Order: sequence, then C-alpha cells, then structure tokens
Amino acid sequence: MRQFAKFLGASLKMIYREKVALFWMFLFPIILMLLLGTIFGRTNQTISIGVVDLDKTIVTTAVTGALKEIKAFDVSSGTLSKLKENLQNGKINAVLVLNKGFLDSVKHGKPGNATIYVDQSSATVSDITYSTVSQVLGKIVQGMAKIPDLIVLNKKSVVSNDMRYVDFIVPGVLAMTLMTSGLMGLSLAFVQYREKGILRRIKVSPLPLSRFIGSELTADLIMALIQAAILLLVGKLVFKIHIRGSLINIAFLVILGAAAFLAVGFLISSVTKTLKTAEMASNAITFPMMFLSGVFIPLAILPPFLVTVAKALPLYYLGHALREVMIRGKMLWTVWPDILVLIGVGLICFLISIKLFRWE
Amino acid sequence: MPAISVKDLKKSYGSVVAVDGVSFEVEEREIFGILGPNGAGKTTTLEMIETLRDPDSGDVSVLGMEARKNARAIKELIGVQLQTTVFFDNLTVWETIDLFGSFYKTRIDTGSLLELVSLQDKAGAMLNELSGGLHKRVSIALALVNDPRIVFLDEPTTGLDPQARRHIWDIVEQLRGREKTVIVTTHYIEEAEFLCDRVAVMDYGKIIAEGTPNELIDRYSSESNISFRLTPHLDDDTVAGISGVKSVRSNDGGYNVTTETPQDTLMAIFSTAQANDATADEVSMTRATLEDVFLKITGRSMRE
Repeated sequence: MRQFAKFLGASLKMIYREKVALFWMFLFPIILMLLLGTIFGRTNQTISIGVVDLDKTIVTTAVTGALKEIKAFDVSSGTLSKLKENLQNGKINAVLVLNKGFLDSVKHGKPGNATIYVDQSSATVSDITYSTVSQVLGKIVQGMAKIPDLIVLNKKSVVSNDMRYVDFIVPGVLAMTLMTSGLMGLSLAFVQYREKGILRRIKVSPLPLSRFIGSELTADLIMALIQAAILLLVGKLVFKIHIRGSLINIAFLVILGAAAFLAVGFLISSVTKTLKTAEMASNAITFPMMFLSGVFIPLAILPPFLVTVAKALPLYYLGHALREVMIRGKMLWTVWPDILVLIGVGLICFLISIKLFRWE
Repeated sequence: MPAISVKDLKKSYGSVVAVDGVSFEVEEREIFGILGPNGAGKTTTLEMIETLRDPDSGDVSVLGMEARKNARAIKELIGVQLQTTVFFDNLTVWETIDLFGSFYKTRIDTGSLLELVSLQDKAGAMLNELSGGLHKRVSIALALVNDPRIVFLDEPTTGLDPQARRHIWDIVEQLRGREKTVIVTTHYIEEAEFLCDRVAVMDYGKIIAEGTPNELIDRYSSESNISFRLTPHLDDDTVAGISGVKSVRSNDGGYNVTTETPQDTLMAIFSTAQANDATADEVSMTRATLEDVFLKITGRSMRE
C-alpha cells in the first residue's frame, strides 16, 4: 500500500510537471469544446418569454411586472398568435399565458390558471424555462396571497425535435478526451520507459509488475476523472448544459471508458518497439475514431455506411453511453450494450498486452 | 560460502554466443572486477547474476540461493547500477531515490544516501538537468537504496571525465569501508587495477585470466620498463649487456629497456654508466599493467 501510494504520487507529480501533456489533456479539449460549441451551438444567456395577459387584473399585472424584474428573463408582451410565431421562429423561448379568471381563482383560494408554451427543439432550455417560470410564479403569487399553490401551470409543447448541439458536443468531447488520453498516456509512457531502460531498472527491484502497472493505471484514471470534472464544469458554465444523470453514474462511465482506452494504449505499447511507432499507431487509431465515431457529428446526418463504421468503433459506444446518461438522464442499465462493448474491448486488450508485455 | 558463485554459465542470442562457459566465485566483502573490451559478455554475465536474464545453461548462486528460483528474494538483497542511467525526467533526485526506496523492505534514509554520493546539493534538481557524472552518481545511489549486501556496478565510469571518474572511485572505496561485496565491470585498465581486489579478464564470452591485479601482472607480464638517458651516448650492445636487460630500444641518446629484475638492473645501469665515464639521468621505471597482460594473452590491445 505504501509502495502503491508512493508510485501513485510520483506518477501524478510527473503528469503535473509535463506541461505539454497537460495542454493536450486539459486545455485542448476545453478549446475544442468551446470552439465547436460557439460555432455550431446557439447558446442562450437569458430566457426570453412572451407574456399574454388575458385576465388583465391587478394580480396578473403584478405577476408580469415581477417577471420583468428578474434578470434572467427577457419579458415581452403581445398577442398569443404573434408570440407563438416568435416561439416557432426561435426568437423567444417560451410563451406564458395568464388565463382569464386568474384573479377570481386566486380570490377564491384556488390556484390561478396559466399556460406555458415552450420550444421542445431545445429540450434543456424548455425544461429550465418551465421549471423556473413555475417556481417564480409560485413565489410571486405566494408572496401576494400568502397561500401556497395558487397557480396550476399547464405545460404545452409547440415543436419537438432533438437536443441542442452543445448538449451533444460536451459528452462527445469528453469521450474523445478519454480516448486520446488513454491511448497516448499509457502507451507512450510505457514505450518511453522501456526505451530508456526504466522498466529494466524496475525489473531488478523486487517491485512486482502488477503493482507498477496498477499504480500507473490508477494515476491515469484519477486524471480521467479530473478531466471529466473540468469539462463538465466548463460545459455547465459556458453552455449551460443541463446534466441530468447522477454524478456517480457519469463517474462510472468515465472510469470504464478511460480504462478501456488505457487498455488499448497498453496493447499498443506492448506491440510497438519505439516511441515513434507507438505514436504513429496511437494516431492511426485515434484520428479515424475521432471523426467517424459520431462524437462530434450526430449519426443521424451521416450516410448509412458511415453509421455502420461508427458502430464498429468503441468510441461510439462511450460517446453514446455518456450522452444518454449525462444529458438524457437515463439509468446505467439502459445503456448496457455500450457498457458491455467497453468492458469487452478493455478486457481483451489488457489480457493480450499482459501476455505480450516486454521489459526491454 | 561465497557471495556469488557462477558455474559454466552460457548464453547465446541467436547465433551469437555472448557468454561461453564462465565460472567464478566472489567472496563476501570482496571488490571483484570483470575487465574486458566492449562486447566481451561482461554485462550479460552480470545480468544473469542479477536475475534479469535467464542463462541458457549453467548455475548461478547468489548468497547461497539458486538465482532462477529465488529472484524476488535475491532482488531484495542486491543493488544494481545499470549501464543505462536514464530515469523519470520529471522527478527530482530526492523523489527518484525515495520512489525506488519504496520498492524494498529495507532501505537507507534518503538524506544519508545523498551524502554518501555527495548529491545533497542536488536533492531538488530534476533528473534531466543533471550532467553525466551526476547521473551516474544517482544511479549508484539507487543501487544502494536498500542497503544491499552485494552491489553490481556495470561500467560505472564509462564516458566520464577523469574528475567525475575519480569521484565514483571514491564512492566505491567507501563501499569497501561499509563491508559491501562489489562486482564491477569495466574496460578501463586503471579502474580495475585501482579498485579491485580480484579481477577476471574476459574476452569473447570467456574468462581468460583471473587473480589479483599483481598476480596477473606477475604471471603474464612480469617485465618492467626502464627508460633513461646517457651522456655521452653509448652503443646499444653495451646497454644490452647490462645485467638483467632483456631488450633495448634507443633513439637520440635515450634508451628504453625491459627487465624482470628492475631493482638489480637499475643499479647495473648506474654502474655501467660510471664504468664508461657517462652520466645517467632522466631515469624512470614503469611496471607492466593489466593492459600488457591483455596484450600478452590475446595479442590485441584492449582499446582496439
């Protein structure tokens, strides 16, 4: 345990001191994500809602006024048909209709009646809009009447489509990062250790091979978790992605994906002799996967034969699993085929590399 | 019980025979040298004793343990300095020693180890910032990190300048003081003569001579060289007639003679000079070296 901790500490220290590696591990994915996100994904800093006041009473006017004072909201008013058109054109995010009899209901101690129309094509935004608006309305009316649950808000969808591109790109970049770190990290480190004779030096010590590889792997898995945390944080802060999956499930997939690709990297290190060939082999694997696995481009817009190609690459499964769990909030068991593929790839590569492992 | 016992060790790489029936024993607390040109099979021999490599045939026993069956136990008790001395680039000297120390059950305190190899000032330096000589010292420190009973040094001074080499020799001398058994390979004659209690001379995978440096010189090349100058000049026959002189080379008033009885010959040179009304000066005497031994046995110079 003492050995393990020492080695782990040393490995982390070495990664931390290798500034070039740090760039590729942390800065590059962030830059890539920001670039792709700003080019292709529209981000909404504020939620713009149109309010249609059909009741036109003191309460509804007060509600509208209160909404206007909230900074996150950009409130406009108009007729229902005009605002609905704006919603469909993507000019606003939601239309709130304060129905006739709103005041009467409140007066009689019943919930006020309102309807919200949201744009389902940006699922996360519509969700955020819906939940904030209903929360805010609740607060406002509660504050005015001191009675709970004064409003019943009916949710109605206008258009329905897929998720936003940034929701798609964040798990995609994360998957890609785990792959490149896995393939580059371990394979290049081991080949270098072998080339420099470090492995031989370790071999003349009583340290077992398993402990050496184990601590290297653990250090890399810790780095993978840190990478994931940073990417998610940037995604959340910059693109306001809505992470619905539980963090434990996401961490599980991150570790599984990182381990699978570390195993592929380990295999590369076992079959290549020099740093140069290891680098070329890693590139030969990472580049096609990056572009063909559907981590940047949704499979739906790819021609059918490329979809087949994508589904033959392990990165597709990691990207898919991460997206389903992270963005759609699915449970782990729903992505069991992805998990199975990753475990299979990792296990096979790891076993072969142990078999082929050379000290020099 | 000898610290190391090697019997009829053989190892080939394909059709190249690297080690061809090597046998020797190293006693405890002895500094044993394997001297030979590059490619003589020194490193391969060492690696088989270190349990890094399996021999094709032959027996290796280290501290009474059969090497192949007790690799793990042997590794705890030996310290190895490999020829390649590159370590993790992004660790400091202290961190490197500390890390390697954690691999062993017993270990020396990192601070006192750095002192032993005079690296206390470089404790915080990164490995890739060190010169060749300092690198070697780190790798020797690593070989001592578990307070081993046997220390293997594979060409510890190859490629170093004279001062750095001298420094390594000092460290090896300190190991003698700490009662370590040391086995060192080298292709430097002076190094073997200076450091080793006993030397095995190796060539083409075989040990061609073994003994203390003095024994080897006496056995194979007992001649000494005496060079001197005579004024006025005497003819070569007179010089060749000096008692004990075996051969004469002369040029421009200077002479170089070989002899097996240096002391008597030296006296005879002066008396001959006096008898011929000449004065002898610029007299110097050199003993044969292991280089001469190697030349005598193989007919080749070591540096070829």
